[in-house]
Amino acid sequence: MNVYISLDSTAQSVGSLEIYNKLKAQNKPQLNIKKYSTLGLMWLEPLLELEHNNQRWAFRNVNEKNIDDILQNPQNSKNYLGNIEDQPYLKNQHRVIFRHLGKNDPTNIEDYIRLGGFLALKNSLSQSPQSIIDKIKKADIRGRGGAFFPAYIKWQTVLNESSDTKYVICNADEGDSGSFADRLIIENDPFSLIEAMIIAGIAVGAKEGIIYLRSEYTNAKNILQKAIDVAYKKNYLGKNESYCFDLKLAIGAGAYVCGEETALIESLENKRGLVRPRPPVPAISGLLDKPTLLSNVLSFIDIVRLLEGSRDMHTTPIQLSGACKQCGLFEVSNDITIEELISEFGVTPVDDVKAVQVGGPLGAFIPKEKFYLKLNNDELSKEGFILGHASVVVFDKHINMKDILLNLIDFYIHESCGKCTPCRIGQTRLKEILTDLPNNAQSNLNLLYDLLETMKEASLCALGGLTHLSVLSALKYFSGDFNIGELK
Amino acid sequence: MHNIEEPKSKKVGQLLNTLRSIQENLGHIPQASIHELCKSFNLSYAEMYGFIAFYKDFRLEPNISKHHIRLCQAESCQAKNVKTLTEYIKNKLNLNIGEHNKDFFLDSVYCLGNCPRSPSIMIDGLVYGDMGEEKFDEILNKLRNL
Repeated sequence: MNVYISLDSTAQSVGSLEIYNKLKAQNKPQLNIKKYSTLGLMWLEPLLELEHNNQRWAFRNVNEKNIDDILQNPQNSKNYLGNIEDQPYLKNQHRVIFRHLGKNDPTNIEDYIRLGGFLALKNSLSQSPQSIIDKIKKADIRGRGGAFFPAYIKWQTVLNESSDTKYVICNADEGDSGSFADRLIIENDPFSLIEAMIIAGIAVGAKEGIIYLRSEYTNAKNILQKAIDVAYKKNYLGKNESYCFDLKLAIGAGAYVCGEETALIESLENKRGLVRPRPPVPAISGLLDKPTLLSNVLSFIDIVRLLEGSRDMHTTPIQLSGACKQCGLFEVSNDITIEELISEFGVTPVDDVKAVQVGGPLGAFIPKEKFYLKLNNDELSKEGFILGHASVVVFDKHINMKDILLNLIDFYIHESCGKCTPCRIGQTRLKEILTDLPNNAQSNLNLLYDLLETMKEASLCALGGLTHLSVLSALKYFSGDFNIGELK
Repeated sequence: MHNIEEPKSKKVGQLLNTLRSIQENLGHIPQASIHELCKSFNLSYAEMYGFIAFYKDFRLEPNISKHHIRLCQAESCQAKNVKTLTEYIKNKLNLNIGEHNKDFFLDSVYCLGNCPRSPSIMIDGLVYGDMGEEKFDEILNKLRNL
């Protein structure tokens, strides 16, 4: 009997490694224990599946105490869920980017090939770089880093540059709180990312790739390094008869701003992670002043799915967290509303919810009366909100928005790189003004609006440039928490 | 001088990685290593110091604590009342955030990517989810008995 359990870091954070070790130690010949990728249904972790006569039985929230019971008397266990594929929270998802979740041992390259891995690479090698980029253009693939920039423009720009050296960089510095999709790919489907980087190298003419990963993701680092080593051993990386592409891993050191593309490049050049003024854009002059294709993890994966022929629609991998009963990854079509997400996938009554923050720490706080909005960037931006990395953090009715906002501003202050004045000084002034509220409310607010306008227009990057979203939405929709009464 | 001929691309990301391995071995970045690194990376002392000081992970002072505890303070954990838990842990350890004693270094972190099981804390590189007072006490007892 096959036993599947995930050692993804969220599963491990609630005890899956202990169960895995316990099962291994029992040394039962009838049990074939496999460490598999997580399904992203995080509220069920540790999730265990038993495969018996071609049927898979799932068990939720397994622990060291109930595991023996489950194995002895599976279908009578109160943790028994039936076949996980039949559960509405999985059946009603449409997984494209995350299509491998729950189906593979993350670092087993045979598993990856069995699922259709390296088909996109094979297809790419049989066509011209221009034809690859034309396909990306035709599919209208947008960057997933938050700006929704058409992906083909970056690829085309780097391809068109005549330089003997070009680079491909993957931004895996997933610092935006509430986001965990990049980590899920790296820990659970690392070969998809490696394949994407190779294809990018072939398409734009780069022979070197770098993945910049944040240091907090220790499990992801080990898995990705192992997968890179395997890919070298199997000749997918390095020099082979069709191409030459080297890939290495660089680990950040706790600076949020290095998720900004030019700060990331500075960091790789052994400098402080200070944001560079643009132009020039990295696609023309990036790492070591060479043309550089720099994209976020999911943007790369999207393109692999396109080139392997499995991208049958545009989906949004929503990462749901906070005060919600069912939190995890929900990859769905982009017309789901906030209300549907919370009530159907999160199984949480909307009446218990006060606000959601969409798009990470720089995203707006969206009040309940706007939960009819669809979670796609076009619709959210019409209201002045952003989708960002599609993270949704739920706050319940007991939360005080001023506390949440002040905590957030501490973060902005701490993470401002200091290169541009509006952000360096603005964040601190912002905190002073907000702390002083409700005193001198009207004059303080006028000052605050001026300050936010300056930060928006004059900051070098989104850290200063998008600060107004969280601050203004909190003040506008939750003014009661700031005791400022009715103001203009 | 031996580095001048070496292509610059070989050094991409290397300072981060080198400092990390020094710190993993020695617990901090000692002055002697800084001088050595200045030579091999062809950087001035000011540039090197500026680099190390910029990145939160690196420390110039020896780490005397046995365990490093990092409490996540980001939004999802805030939504799950990490504020109260933080106060509990501060009292329990008799440390403020950023302080240390011979057993513990209490630190904050802004998101561990474990948001679906908030609140999360990291102890000695391992992430623990669904953190609460009871669960923290259990872990603390285990750490003290190590």
